[in-house]
Amino acid sequence: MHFLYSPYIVPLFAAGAISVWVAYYAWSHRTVSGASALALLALAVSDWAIGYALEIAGADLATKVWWAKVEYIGTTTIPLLWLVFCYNYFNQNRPMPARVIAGLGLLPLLTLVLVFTTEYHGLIWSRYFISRTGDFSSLGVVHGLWFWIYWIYAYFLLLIGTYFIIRLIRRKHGLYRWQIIALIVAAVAPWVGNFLYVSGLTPVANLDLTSYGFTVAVVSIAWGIFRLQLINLLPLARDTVVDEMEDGMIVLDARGRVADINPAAAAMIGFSITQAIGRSAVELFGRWPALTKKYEDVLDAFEEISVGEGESQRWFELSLAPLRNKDKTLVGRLITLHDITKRRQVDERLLQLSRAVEASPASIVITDVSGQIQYVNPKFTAVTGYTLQDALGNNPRILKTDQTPPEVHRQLWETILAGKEWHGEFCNRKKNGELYWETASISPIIDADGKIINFVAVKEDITEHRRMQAQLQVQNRYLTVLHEITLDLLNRRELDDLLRAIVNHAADLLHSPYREIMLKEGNELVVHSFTPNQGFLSGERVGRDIAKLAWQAHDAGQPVILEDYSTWADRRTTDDPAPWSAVAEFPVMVGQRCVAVIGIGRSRPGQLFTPEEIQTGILFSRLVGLVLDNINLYTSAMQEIAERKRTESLLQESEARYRQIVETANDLIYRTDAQGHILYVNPTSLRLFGLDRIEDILGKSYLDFIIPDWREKVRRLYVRQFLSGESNTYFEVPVLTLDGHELWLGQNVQVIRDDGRVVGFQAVARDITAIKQAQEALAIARDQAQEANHLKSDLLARVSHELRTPLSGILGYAELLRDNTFGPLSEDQRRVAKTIVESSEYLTNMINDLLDQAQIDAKKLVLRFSECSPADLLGGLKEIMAVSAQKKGLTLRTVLEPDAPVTVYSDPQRLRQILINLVANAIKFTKQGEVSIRILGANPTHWALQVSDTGIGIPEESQAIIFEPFQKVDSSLTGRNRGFGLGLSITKQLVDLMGGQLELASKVGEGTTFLVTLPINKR
Amino acid sequence: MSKPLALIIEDDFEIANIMSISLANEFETEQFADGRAALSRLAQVIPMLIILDLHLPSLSGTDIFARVRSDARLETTKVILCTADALRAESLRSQADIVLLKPISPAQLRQLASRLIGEPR
Repeated sequence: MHFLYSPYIVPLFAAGAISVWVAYYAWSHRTVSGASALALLALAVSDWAIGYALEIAGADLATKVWWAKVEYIGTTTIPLLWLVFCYNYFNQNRPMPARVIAGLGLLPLLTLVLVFTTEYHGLIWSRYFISRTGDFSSLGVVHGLWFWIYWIYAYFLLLIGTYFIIRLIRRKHGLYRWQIIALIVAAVAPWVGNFLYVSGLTPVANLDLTSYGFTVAVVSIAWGIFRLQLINLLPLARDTVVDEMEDGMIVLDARGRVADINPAAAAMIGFSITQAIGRSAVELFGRWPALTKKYEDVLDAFEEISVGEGESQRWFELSLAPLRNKDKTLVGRLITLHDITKRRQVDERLLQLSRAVEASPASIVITDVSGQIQYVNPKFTAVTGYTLQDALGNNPRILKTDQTPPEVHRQLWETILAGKEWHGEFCNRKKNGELYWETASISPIIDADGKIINFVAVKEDITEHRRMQAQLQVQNRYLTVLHEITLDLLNRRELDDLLRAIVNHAADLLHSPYREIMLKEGNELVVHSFTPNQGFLSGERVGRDIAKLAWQAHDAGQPVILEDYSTWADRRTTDDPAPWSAVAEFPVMVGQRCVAVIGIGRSRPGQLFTPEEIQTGILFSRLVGLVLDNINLYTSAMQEIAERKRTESLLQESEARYRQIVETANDLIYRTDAQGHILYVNPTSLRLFGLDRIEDILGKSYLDFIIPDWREKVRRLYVRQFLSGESNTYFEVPVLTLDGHELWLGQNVQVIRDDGRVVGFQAVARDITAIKQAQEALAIARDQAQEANHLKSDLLARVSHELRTPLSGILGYAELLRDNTFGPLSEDQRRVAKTIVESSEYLTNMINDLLDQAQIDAKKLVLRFSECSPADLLGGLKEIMAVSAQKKGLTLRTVLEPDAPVTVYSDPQRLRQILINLVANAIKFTKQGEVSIRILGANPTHWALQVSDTGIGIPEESQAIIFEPFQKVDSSLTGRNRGFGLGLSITKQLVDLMGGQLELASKVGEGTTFLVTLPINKR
Repeated sequence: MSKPLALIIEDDFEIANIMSISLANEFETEQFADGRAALSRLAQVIPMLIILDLHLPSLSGTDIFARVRSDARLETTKVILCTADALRAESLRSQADIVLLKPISPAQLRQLASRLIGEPR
């Protein structure tokens, strides 16, 4: 082997040496993923670099070939190791499996074998030679087929490796900028070198720069390791620990700038990671200037801090730690923030709860399962006098008294051991021995496993409450007694009974078996009521020397209480086996005077009278005072009663008289209650109904006696009277007697009131059967007359119809004759013709009037109303009547007064008929002068027709009858004018039908005026 | 100028004759005792006036009246109804131009007829 120095080998040796150093360093950190691969990679690179250097330095072909082959050891392993390094570095905790590496290494191994045997098959180098360019010489080769296969494979591996590096760069936001640059250089450098070599752009022909590229790559990685601790600051740790952890972590470099920050910390301070990195801590924590100032130069700290306020207040555990490198120089600080807001909130709530328990107005006791007290609150201490220290470890039994029935405790334990809540009342004893009552709610506390771990008792002192309740009960009893006594007083009970009742009530209420009452009479007390075995008798007079205690109360005017009578010096001797203990004497005062003394006593020693009980006793003594004071009233009441009795007997007399009247009356008299049940009937009623005894009718409803068809109607009538309270009604009802006779009663019914309320009815009825029958007969007669009228009207209608046709012939021809239609007539002939005409006209009018009258009688006349004009009526009438007036030489004047209505609603035909009748009448009875027709307004609702003449007039005595049918005033006056028949009568009836009035004013010899007033009937 | 035509429909010959004579001065009159005959004549002529008795054999006056009133051709024709039935006269009064209750005075008929044809319909 011969070598020649060439300057090109220096960098290659340098690269080789660096690579070896990198290999050593990486190997020493081989526990880190990718490190061992990096070590091997660096070795391979150094092999390639050194091999290449020796190839260049080789002086002959054989030397160059040999070292070129040695180079291939590196060349064939580098792509694989690069891939493995990149893969392992990228996938920190999942290194590439060995069999994958082995599989991928098959082809490089085969290639290496082929390289060393290429002289025999030319698959790697088909030709080789020394290539020389100036002072640079290397082995020139023509590559064989396998080389290109491997070349493609190698690039494939390199590409994948590079791909991982690039992904790493993209992903690792937490890396130092220089770390990224180092990795980029490592990824790119081999490619640049190789690119330059393959594209022929190398400064010296055939100088393969790929090895330099790899050198740069490993140096760059080494720089990352050496300077930037690329392998030490593990991306993995960041990923899995730092990034994921809930605590915030910030790394500051020596200058206080953010070198690293995890998402949790970023979220806490409100910056994004990319925003935060590189910023100064002062800037980052600008929102909390106080904190920043406080910790600006602090290296080491551990503290709880809070930021924000109210709802958004958060708590952190802040820890600051210095970061030093191996030689202990400070490289930065590590800040960790641990969010303890939740914990703080829980603490806070617990604090509140415990404060609530402490401040609770109810006593709270917590015990363990065995009943040992673990906690009592201050209220408990306040109530019982036991402090927490006193109570701890003790059993609540310390409070127990015999006042609470043992049953209560048994039931309490049963309930709470079953896991249920217990409510109840205890009578307990305080530390000072005082008794008190309390209600308790005791509930077990159950842990997650369902096991009872504690009992909590919440208790309230109800001593006062119970006392009030007891007092209320006593007051209630007192009121009851008061009520009873009031009733007794009203019932005029004997004084002694009354007093005994009051004293007994009082003694019962005050749990005192012994009771007595003594009334003051003169200078002595007289025993009025007592319990046996006291050595007294009712009515016994007791002097001052005997009942000393009672006298004491009498003199003091105040109750006197003795706690133990049996030991009292002045006690009475009695035969009672159970001697008195507590005794109370209450004076009974009327004004300033003591009129009696009540004494009560107990035999059970120690059972004293409470202040409330004494108050009750005083109340009762007042009551007795009241009763005694009312004795005068009682006496006067007795007198009043005697008076009342006398009045009553007077009343009874008067009642007897009335009874006699009622019982002998011819009318039926009876009474019912408000529901109509008969309470009383007089004998007349019984007789009329065919009843024997009054009992047969009492209690029955009055309706039972009314004939069934009428019952509902009658019932409604009297219900109405009941509701309206109308004092009297008259009604005629048909009733049935016992034997089925129908009777008509006309009855007056009055309501009976009590205190304004209708409580019943009283009826006076008369038998009106006979009157009713007469009425019915009349009604039948009336109906028959009506029927006859109908028949008459029909007959007349038919007859008139039959008469009119022949009359038509008579009137028609007579008129034609008279008017010379059939040639001129002689005077006699003309007179005859005229008579025939007039007779026919008379007959026609007669028929018309008869027909009208029949219609009116049968109530069949129909008025046909329409809008009509009084002016037109007047005009039409003048036209018709003018001729007949003229014939008699009379003036016919028509006047429409200004106040006449323009239209009226009426029957124009009948109006005409009325006027024609009146005017014809006027003309008929007037020899000279005038007939005037006026229409005028009578008042806002009525109008009037007035027909006046200057005729003969109507005598006063006839004025009343001229409107009756077929009346003639005086035939001498009417002369030959026959037939003052139906006209006026019909006129009058028509006016009546139209709702008007026909009036007449007349003086014989001066004239007559008819005034018809009619309603206007405005529509 | 010939006189206007008046049709007298009346089954009583004498009454019809009286009417005819009464109106002879002002009208050309034709008499019909039978309703059907009158109707067939009405199909040919347009009379100015019809005097119609309500009580007729074969076809009642009421029917003829209804036909006349419903015939647009006879719109200008005036009708005087005649009857011996006072109640019917009452009830028909609102429908016909004039209703006359028998007996009928020739003078009155003449007067009414002249006045009737003098007023417009």
